[in-house]
Amino acid sequence: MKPIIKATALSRWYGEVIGLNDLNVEIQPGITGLLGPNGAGKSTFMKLLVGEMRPSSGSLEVLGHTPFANLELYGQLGFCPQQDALYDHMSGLQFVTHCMRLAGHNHTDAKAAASRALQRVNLQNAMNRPVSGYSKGMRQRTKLAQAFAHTPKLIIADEPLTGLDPVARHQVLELYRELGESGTSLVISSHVLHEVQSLTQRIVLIHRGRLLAQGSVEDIRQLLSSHPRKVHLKARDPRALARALLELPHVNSTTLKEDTGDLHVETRDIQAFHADLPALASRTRSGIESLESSDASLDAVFDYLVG
Amino acid sequence: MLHFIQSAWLLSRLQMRSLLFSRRIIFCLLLAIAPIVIAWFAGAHQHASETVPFIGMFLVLQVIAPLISLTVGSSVVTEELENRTITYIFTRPTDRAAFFVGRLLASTVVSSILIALSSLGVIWAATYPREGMANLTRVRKRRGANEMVEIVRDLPDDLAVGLLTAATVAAVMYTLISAGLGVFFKRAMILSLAYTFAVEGFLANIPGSTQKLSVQFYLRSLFSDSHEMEASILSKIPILSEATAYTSSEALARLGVAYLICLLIGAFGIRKRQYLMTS
Repeated sequence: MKPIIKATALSRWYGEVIGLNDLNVEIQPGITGLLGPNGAGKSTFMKLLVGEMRPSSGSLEVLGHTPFANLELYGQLGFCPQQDALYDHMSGLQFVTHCMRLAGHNHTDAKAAASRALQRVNLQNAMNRPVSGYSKGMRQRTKLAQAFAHTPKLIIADEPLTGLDPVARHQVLELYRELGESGTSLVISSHVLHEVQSLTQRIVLIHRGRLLAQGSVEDIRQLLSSHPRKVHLKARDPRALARALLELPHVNSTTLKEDTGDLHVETRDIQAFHADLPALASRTRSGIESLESSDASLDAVFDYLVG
Repeated sequence: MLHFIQSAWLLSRLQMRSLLFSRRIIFCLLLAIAPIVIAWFAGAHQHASETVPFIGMFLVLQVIAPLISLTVGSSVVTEELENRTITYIFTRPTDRAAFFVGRLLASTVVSSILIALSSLGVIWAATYPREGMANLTRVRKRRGANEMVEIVRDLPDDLAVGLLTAATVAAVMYTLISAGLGVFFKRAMILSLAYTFAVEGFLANIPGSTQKLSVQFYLRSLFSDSHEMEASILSKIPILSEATAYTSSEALARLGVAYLICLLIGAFGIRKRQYLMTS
């Protein structure tokens, strides 16, 4: 199958700051989640995808076109930007109609399509009100409506779930699912794995401007569960506890801070660690006072993978 | 081509609306009123034939028209960039040049109207009949066998037309300069001010042919060619009396060519430029 996006040795610098660094990736039709922590280069990649800027080096093809200022591509592309920027004096309906008219539709068709799109994002009751009075979630949904109102082949959405309450989030995810099922390809960026995992199995991981991993959600989950996790403990007798912990097969290392008495433990199997700890604490009479485990967020995986 | 025109028109309407409800327009209105107020007070003491050329040349054409035009023109690109709404336009199948042309059109209309109204206000305020008839003059007219003395406003018609023409052309030119600089630079307003009041101010006021590199030179030609320069108060200022090398039509033709070149540079420039927005 021909990829909808093909980046070859793609790099983008902002002066001396690297936005993307030698990125090689192919994205197939369907829904793809673009994941990475804040500052990973997701937005830079998105801006390159929609032709907002040119690559510093390398090449990029979107639907077979070079994106920068490519009118032929823009007819097949919908973009939901990250920034919370709208024409505040316009109503939601006027805004989406305006966007549609810029895409070449006549006023009647543009208005009808805009109205349908706003109904799909559940803004039918608010679409005639100025967007200046919209909540953040409503503004986000208005941005979404302009991205798909003209039924594009590919929708690129930069952090589209930011600012949405759980109900709106569910509705928007449902809408994306429908769009995906109707044959529209989507590339959705997010820094939260569980936001996109309900939507797609295909993930592209970016970190510090480079491709870190590409594959299914299961692959990513495997990374999450297999990478060492850190646990911070406070105990009355941390030395005894540290000695005992090192006997456990899944514990990689223990570090004791002499001044505070804090014990930092690195384990390969967090669940086994939690299962073994109570018996161990009881046996060594070390008197555990507190226990903190770092989360299994993508940031942690990235930190682990990148070192 | 039809889509280009439609898009330019749509974007022009959007710019017009946003300009009319912006804080910029209040600043511009205050600027437009300033020379009228000055002309009103000057008109009580001086003949209009003296105040209008002076206020017209040194206040309207050299200060107010550029300031209003630069304020309005600098919004053509930078406003959409600062609001970060330019993304919605630049990711549509619409020629970026239509964005520039459409918004420039709206800005030019607004600045031209404001400056033309300001000029008309100056003429009206300077010629308003007041006690002492300082701004009225007696004209002898023969009707049949009788000779009559008619009291008329002391301002030649061509002087009023000249000011109005030069002011409107100033609006058109300076709006384009500011908008064009906005295509290439972030700080369009500051650069436009620097260009107009430092570069042009220097070029236009040193003797010799370098004056022809400034818009002000052509505005002077338009203004002073429209009435009898010899009789004007402006003829007493050497730099101005030397600056009438072109007739109105010559000056307009040369400015027209310069306008087209700048417009093309702006339109092509916006197609090629990348605009980086922080999220």
